[in-house]
Amino acid sequence: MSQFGERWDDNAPLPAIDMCAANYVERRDSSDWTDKDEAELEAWLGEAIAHRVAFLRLNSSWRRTERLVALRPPEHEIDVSRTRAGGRNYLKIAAGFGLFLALGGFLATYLSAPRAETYSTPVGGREILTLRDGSRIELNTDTSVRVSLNAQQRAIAVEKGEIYFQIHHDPARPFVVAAQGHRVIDLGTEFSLRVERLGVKVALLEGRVRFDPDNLATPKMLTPGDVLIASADSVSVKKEPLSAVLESLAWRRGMLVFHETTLADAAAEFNRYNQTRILIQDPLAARETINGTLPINNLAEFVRMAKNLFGLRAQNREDEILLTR
Amino acid sequence: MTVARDELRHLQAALDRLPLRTREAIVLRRIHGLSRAEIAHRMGINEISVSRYLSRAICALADTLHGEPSNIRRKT
Repeated sequence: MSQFGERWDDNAPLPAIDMCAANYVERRDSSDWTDKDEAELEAWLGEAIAHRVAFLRLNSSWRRTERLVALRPPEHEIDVSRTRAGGRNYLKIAAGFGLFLALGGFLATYLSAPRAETYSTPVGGREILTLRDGSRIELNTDTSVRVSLNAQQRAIAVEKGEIYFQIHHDPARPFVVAAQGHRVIDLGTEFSLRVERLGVKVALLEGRVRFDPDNLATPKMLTPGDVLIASADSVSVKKEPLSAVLESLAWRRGMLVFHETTLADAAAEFNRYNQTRILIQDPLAARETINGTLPINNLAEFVRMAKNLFGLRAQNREDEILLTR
Repeated sequence: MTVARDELRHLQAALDRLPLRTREAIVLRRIHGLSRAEIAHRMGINEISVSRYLSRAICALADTLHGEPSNIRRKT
């Protein structure tokens, strides 16, 4: 059930109905769409309610993407590697004003000077940062990091929360992530790091990293699928299937994936993302387990699930929802 | 105006989450307005593959924009 992997890979298979509906949505919007095609679509929609539901859903989000045209660069230059505005254009303008040399001098000083910037997200927030070296870091809910990039080193200190790293490898300029005294050193990679009260969790998706524990014990080399958990005095590594690592990153698309998760643990995980906390008051139900996916920010959906699957009732208090029998 | 900008930022973040080739195809189509044939030429693949990438992008964008439907069961 690696839904994440299926949708978020260029080649993995997708549900046939979605693929078929998406294909109609896209073709219908191009100039070579004929009356015959329209009739074929009508027939397909008539075959099953599921066809119609998929088509309407995909078509409406396709319509919304019309706005993307606003990102088109003014000149005839196609650069698909970045959709963000700015960047390049600033450089061009600088050159145009003859500031280039001055800028170069400034940049050299700027790059070598240690300078930390802090980025954080609120509870329920999520943010992608593209660093100047091309690395991307994605901050999950309630996360705070300090980033300092200079000519010799790239360093990130994670104060709290969870982050997904896509590091642009540069042997001359190592990328070091520090959390609770431990250090993760990138050797060209994608990984996630989560800081909890009792320790740090690192999960490797691609490439290699070296983990230097706080207590100066022997460093650990991690390979894809490795999930490392480090507390102040112990480090353990467990090999997981990549699909499991991907599922633990479902927050990147606003979802939580549960596998044989107790209702109590599911609520605790859910509570990381919402100001209103869910408390399971029924001890029996708290130990029951669930499977599947839930949207991160949808309290009503969680309550509905508890009601439908376990017959629990919700009592709303100011900052919490009590689920009782 | 702010709403329009938020929507654009939201869309941009959704695009940033797409896998590489899928993203390339949808950027060429939606932002640069290229036809399927032009995209195929630029990406060095055939039109059927372009269609497949575009369909994939549409599915993934719908998941991000509408949120995925939840799907949860009790252990039996």
